[in-house]
Amino acid sequence: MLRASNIFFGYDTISILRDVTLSASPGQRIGILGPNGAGKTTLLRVLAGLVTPNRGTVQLGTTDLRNLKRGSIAKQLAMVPQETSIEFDYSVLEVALMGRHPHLGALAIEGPDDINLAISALKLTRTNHLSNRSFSTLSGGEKQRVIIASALTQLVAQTVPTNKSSVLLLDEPTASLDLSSQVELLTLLRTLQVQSNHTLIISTHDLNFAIGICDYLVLLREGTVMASGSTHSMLTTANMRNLYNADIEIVRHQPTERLVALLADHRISRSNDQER
Amino acid sequence: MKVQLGTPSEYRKRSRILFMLASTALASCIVAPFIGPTPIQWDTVFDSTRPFNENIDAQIFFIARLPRALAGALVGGALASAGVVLQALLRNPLATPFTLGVSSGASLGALLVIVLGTPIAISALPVVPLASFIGALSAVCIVYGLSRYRRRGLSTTVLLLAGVTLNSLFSAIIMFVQFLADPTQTFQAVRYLMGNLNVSGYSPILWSLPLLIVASCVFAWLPRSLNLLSIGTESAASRGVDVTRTQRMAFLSASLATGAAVSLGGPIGFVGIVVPHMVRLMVGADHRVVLPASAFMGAAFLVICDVAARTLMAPQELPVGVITAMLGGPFFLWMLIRKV
Repeated sequence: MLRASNIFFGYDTISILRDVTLSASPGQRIGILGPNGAGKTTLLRVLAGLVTPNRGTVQLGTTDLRNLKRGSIAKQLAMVPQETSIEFDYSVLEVALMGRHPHLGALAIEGPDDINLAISALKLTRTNHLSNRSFSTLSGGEKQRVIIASALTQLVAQTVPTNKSSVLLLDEPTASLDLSSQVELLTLLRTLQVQSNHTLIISTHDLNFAIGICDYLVLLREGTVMASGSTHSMLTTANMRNLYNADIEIVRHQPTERLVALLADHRISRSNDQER
Repeated sequence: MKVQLGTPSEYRKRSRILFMLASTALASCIVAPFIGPTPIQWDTVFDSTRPFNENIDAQIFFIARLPRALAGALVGGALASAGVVLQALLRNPLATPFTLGVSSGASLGALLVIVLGTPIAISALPVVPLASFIGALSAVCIVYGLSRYRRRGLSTTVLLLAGVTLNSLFSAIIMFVQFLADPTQTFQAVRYLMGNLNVSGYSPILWSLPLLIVASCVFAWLPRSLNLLSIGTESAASRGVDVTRTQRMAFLSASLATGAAVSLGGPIGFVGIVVPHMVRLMVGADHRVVLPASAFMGAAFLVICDVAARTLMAPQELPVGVITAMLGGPFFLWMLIRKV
């Protein structure tokens, strides 16, 4: 359970998040939707405890994040950043093993158990065949999946009771992926959802990706929550036009009964007209 | 071909390399004192039947050459490991122990003492090393203070910029002081700036030892966190690393080691960049191997370079910094080209 209550965040005079409240229960798949600059990434960083909000609290379970050490947060909460670049020549397996950091003592070395966990995470993300490759030689999609494997390795714990669900935060996971990598990522996240009870919180501006994986949507605009609710109730043409200030049409794909976002950019939205 | 992690063969390979480098470092410390313009014999040096006062070979070995080899090993090990730590901290493979202004601070400190003389009668202490250590410390404080200004964490960008700027500022002051000084002092100062392991006896080594031990203890705690810092500070934090504390400890311990090394041997360049990269080519990127391996290799490398410095133009002695720069410069260029 991860709950953010009345979060305010900003630097100096720039306010980024205003009164954001969000609650994620175990197994939920939450999508944070919004245009560029709406504060999605900042919200994820607040949720991960990487920055402390100016006002408001984030609770993991029943404890305020501020009262938890980085190591104990990391045992329950992992983040996959939009892009990862590594300076030195680490192998894929070494990167996956970095997820074991919070579970190891200061001077401990990963044992066979840790290595097995990393390998099974690599298998799950279908990157096991790359395990000896240098991370920096991988494609964007492969890197993404290895970092997800590392995050999964981090969330597996023998010591924490299983009723404590863990949280996986993904920041714009499709931003630099081509279509086939996007489909693979979607498949992977669906597999994860079936195999484990991880809570997923995904920031994205890719509507169809959000439709494909999320069961709950938070619409973030200019740092405030415009609306939130189940994916089906949130995905209306009116909501999306309002959120992105662009001409978007949400339609139902008849054979599959699934919602699809159509970007109708041949027309200019009314509000844009007025601004001009 | 890389060896699969976690397999017995991988552990064997890593331990073998560490053992090999440690033995090389040890062997170079023992063999180096036997090489020099005056030949000495192993049998005579360790001949316990002769009293030490009459055993000239033993005197040369223990009084003249062994301290120098030990100083070389300590300085080389300290600079190489400080190089590893700073490259990881700044996420920049071109960083050296001298990037953050430590060496120019130390040089300025030493230079002021050489040129101005000692203000009070403290000549019982090793004045030049002390002054250079104080100079290093001041540089570290300035850079550290700047990098924390207006931020709760540590900004590595500011750290880098402040270090580079301070380096050139101090270099300018060094040139100014040299300009004012008389030729003998300038000559002495230039010699100091080239780096020299010509320590007199064991006391400078004993002085720097506690500092190096403290730095090594911190180094032992750092490697896994340094691995995580290389995937980015936010990713490291979300994997459970206390980033600010790690950065602070890495910066301060590397500076301490550098300060101690510079006060012992002067600003000997290139050890801190060449050795870490040679080690990475051998063992991969994992800092838990790279750090100790660099310390051993740096020790062996500098002791061997110093032998070359003492013998190449014997009886004249080259400053060891000239040798390391002549080897290190081309290597550095090769690395730059390879990166492109």
